[in-house]
Amino acid sequence: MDFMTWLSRWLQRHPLKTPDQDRVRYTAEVMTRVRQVAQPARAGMPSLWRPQWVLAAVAAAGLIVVLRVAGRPSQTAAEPPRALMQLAQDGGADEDSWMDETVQLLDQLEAEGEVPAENNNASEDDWMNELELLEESDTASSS
Amino acid sequence: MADSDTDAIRAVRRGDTDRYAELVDRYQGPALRLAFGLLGNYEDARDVSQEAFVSAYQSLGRFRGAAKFSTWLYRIIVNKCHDALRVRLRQPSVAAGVGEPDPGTNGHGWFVVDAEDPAAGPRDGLANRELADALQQAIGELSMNQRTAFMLHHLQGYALAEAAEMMGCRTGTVKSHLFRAVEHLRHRLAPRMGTGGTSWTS
Repeated sequence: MDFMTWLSRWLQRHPLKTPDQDRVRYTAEVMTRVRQVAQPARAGMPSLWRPQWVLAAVAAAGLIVVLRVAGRPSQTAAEPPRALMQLAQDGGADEDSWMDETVQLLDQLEAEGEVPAENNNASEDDWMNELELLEESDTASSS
Repeated sequence: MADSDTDAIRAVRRGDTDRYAELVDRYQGPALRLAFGLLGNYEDARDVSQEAFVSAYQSLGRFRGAAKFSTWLYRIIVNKCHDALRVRLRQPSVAAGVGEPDPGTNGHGWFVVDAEDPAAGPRDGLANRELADALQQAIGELSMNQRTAFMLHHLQGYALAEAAEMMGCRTGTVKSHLFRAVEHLRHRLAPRMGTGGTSWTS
């Protein structure tokens, strides 16, 4: 019999301990804590429509307008009609692309709306990597 | 995911917070046992598992249902247990006060198996207790990941893929942890083998 087979059989005869517990009390304690943090209406709310994302989207759209206006070439006294014409043409021609950019930005913001979850995953991954390194250093130090 | 889980989650998302009690009631047993197996202290396990339920509730809006609710919950518990163990390791003064192993855990904090065997005679019973003690000590010497993998797969019976999902790593990584864990246990238990019917031939 190899070690793993033996250990498996031994563990079957000596199973994991299960602590005694008062199920009703446990559930009641959890639900008390849950109700303290409960925001039921927001629990199922799509992330895009949470107020902070809407505000962020509006702020970002405003920033785009400011940057686009500031980024246009300044008009010179020598050619105001041409510059105005160009500005008008740019405005008309770029309207679709501007809208596309805005939509893309909103999509990006929506994606960033998942940041807490992604960050959690990322931090968990980082954390696991850190644990791996810690374990490797433990193994190295013990060997 | 069980239909009843799905129904409860949908109801909670719609604002019926009380339906969350169904999930708590359904999974509190394995949740507490998992935390207890990793922490070896009932009060800590109770607190960590309850925190995990609260965290799961707070994140329910992000739960996509790709995994089972239970797996998702257990992963939160594993993470929280690792946090608690890291605090213990870094703050011995805390470990000496709050969160020390329960009486009967032999000081290692991970007394996880029941050493009693009704079918065993007195001699085998003593050998079993000694072996449980040695096993306990050897498990306590494992790294957190090795111990978690061993606990999930060998003691709680989760498949490798499930254990990997709970630990947030690849199946191959779990296998690696398990291999090293078993090798360590084999090395530590070898001197105690051969008495009281507790033997194997390597």
